[in-house]
Parts: sequence; C-alpha cells; structure tokens
Amino acid sequence: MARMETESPPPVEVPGRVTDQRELVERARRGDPAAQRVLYDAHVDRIYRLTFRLTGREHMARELTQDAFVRAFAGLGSFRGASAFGTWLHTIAVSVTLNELKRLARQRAREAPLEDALTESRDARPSDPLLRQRLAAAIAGLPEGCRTVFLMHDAEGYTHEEIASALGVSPGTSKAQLSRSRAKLRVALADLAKEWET
Amino acid sequence: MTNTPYDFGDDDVTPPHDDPRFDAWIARQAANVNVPGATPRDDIWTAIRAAQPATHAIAPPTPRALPFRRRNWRMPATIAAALLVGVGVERFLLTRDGAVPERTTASQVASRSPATVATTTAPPNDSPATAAPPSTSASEPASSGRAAQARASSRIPATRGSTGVAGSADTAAVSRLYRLAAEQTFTQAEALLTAYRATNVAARDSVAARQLGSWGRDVL
Repeated sequence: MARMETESPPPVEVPGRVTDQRELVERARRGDPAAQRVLYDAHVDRIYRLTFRLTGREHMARELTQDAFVRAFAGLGSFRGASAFGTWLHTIAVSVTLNELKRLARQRAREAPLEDALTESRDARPSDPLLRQRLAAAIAGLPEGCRTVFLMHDAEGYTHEEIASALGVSPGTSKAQLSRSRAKLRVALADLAKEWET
Repeated sequence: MTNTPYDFGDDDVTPPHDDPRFDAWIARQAANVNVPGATPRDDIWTAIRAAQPATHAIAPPTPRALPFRRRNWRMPATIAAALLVGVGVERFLLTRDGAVPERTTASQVASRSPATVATTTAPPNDSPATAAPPSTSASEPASSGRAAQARASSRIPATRGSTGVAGSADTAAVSRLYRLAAEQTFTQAEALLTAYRATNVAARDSVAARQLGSWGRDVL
C-alpha cells in the first residue's frame, strides 16, 4: 500500500545517518545532486506506480515520473514546506499525468483511429484478459477526477486524506467521488453482476 | 461542484450506490488493472539528470547589485523638484510685478554690495528699503538665510500696503527685495547642489543625507 506523508514527514534514511527531510529539501533546492537522489529514491516507486496506474503504459509512466521529478526539483524554490515533500510531489505527478492524458484525449479526438492508451493496457500484467479489458474500459470511461480517486484509493491504497492533498480537494470530496466512481462502474459492468454476487 | 481543476463529472447523472459486495469485488479487481512492474529507477534518474538544466544551482546574490527601487534617488529628486518649484514661483512673482530679473551669480551678488542691502545687522523694525538681506555666502548655514528671507518677505505686504508717499520708490524697493530673495535662493541652491555633487555617493551616510534633506527643505 502506498502511503504519503501528511502532517509530519518521517526522516529519510541516509547511509550513515538520519537526515531531516527539510534539510534534504534545502540541499536539493541548492542543486545538490546527492540530496536530490535521496529524495528521488524515497518517492520514485510510489510516483511511478501511480503514473502507471493512471496511464497504463510503461513508457508514459517513465516519462511522467521523470517530468514530475524534474518539475519538482526545478520548483523547489517555491516549495514552502507547508506540506510534506511527498505530498507536494504527488500533486505535481497527478497534475502532469492528467494533463498528459487530456492532451492525448484531444489528440485522439483529432486522429480518431489512434489507439486508446487507456482501454488497452499493453504493458500490464495479464490476469483475466477479458475481465481486465472490460474493467479497464469502464475505468477509462470515468471522469478524470473520479478515475484518479478510484485508482488511487482502490488500486494503490491511498487514504482519502492523501488523495485530498494530492488533488487539492477535501477528504469528503474524495469519499464522495469514490462512491460515485463505484456507482458508475457498477452500472458499466452490470452484465458481469454474477462476478460479485456469487 | 468542487473547486478543483479536475473534472469530476456531472453530479446529476450519478446513480445511488450502496453495494458492499460490489465495492469489495471492484477493489480486488482494480488491483489487477494496469499493474506496474518494477520501477526502472536508474533509467528514470539518468533521464532526470539529463533533463535538468546545467545551471540549476541557485547563484549567490551579487553583493553590490541593488534593485532600482532601493537606490537612494528619492532625496535628490525631491530636492531638484523643490528647487524647480521655488525658481518657478520666484520667476512668476517677478514677472507679475513687472520686474525683469537680471542674470546674476552668487559672485556678482557678493561683489555688488549696495548700501541698502549690505548690512546684516539691521534691526528687525527697519523699513523695507533698508532691510538687510541675509548673507549670501555659500558656506553659511541655510537656516539663517532662510529666516532672513522670511523676515524680508513678511515685510513686503506692509510695504505694498503703504500707499501715497511711497510710490515708485517703494515699488523699486520691493523689486529689489524680491531680486535679493531670488538671488539668495539661487545661491543657496547652487551651494546645495555643489555640496551634493561633492559628496561621495558611496560614502554618503545617513547624517549627510539628513543634512542635505534639511538644507533642501530650507531652500524650498
């Protein structure tokens, strides 16, 4: 389960000593590659998993993870430390990912035969191909906010507080959107009702 | 709906939902959708380092580079504006009274020393014609000259008010007084500007700045 820091970020382990995250962020802001690498190692797995869940493609997940870190390191001067670095980084990652998906959607609208990146997840591990394709298509049909909340909560295990911080909404909104997402998915997958009723 | 840049769809089309079995099932199934593999850490890090600009490190601030708004230009500008206003008022008054001011300098004023204006020890209740102007020396503090100028100015209405016998002689005396006041103002302004230019800008401290400011106000 992925967890972001919320109130008080835990110190990050550095070989030989424990370094306060604030100090790490300050060093990274000054361009210290070692500090940036420590922050990267502490957060890259969750960011990569999230971008992969949202896009379904490995190369997109790589590029978006890279983009999120580059933007975060370049924008550390504006990071005031009101939230944890991980929370701030997740906000950036979600933003760049959804913007890229919007750009792809616009491109698909112009070029109709373009392959749907969301409904066909070529890089995902095969489980039950038919069910997985149906589910992926239903999830892709959700509004972007609902889809993000659903995948962050049900697929990656983020709490509503963490989702709210990343999306800039209240935890109540996150809960409401998760309920709406499930309701829409239930309608979209109604012909598979025997799957969950048995 | 919510104050967020993300699209959460339309609330109106949301069907009511209360199905714990579906919730449990969809949560299990969602974990199998778009399952990521191992994170290619080194590849992504290499790409990040390549994408970062070479000059990402924040440069130390240049010690002597001050933004324009912090430069000490307000006081000189205020003094210059005050001088311009003073000269303008003086010229307006002279023109209105019909007197054409001569082009004089401080040295000419000092060398002229007319009898009616030479002494600086005249009693306060002297007549305007013999009222003594303050010294025009550039090194003298401005406050004394300013006070004398004020005294001279305060007598002008009385002179103007005395009709009849005074006649053209009074008018000439008033014009002379105005000219003297103008010359004194010019001299003080000249001295002020000379002192300001002679002051090393880099070494100017707050005391000198206050003194110049006080001097400028006196000239005004």
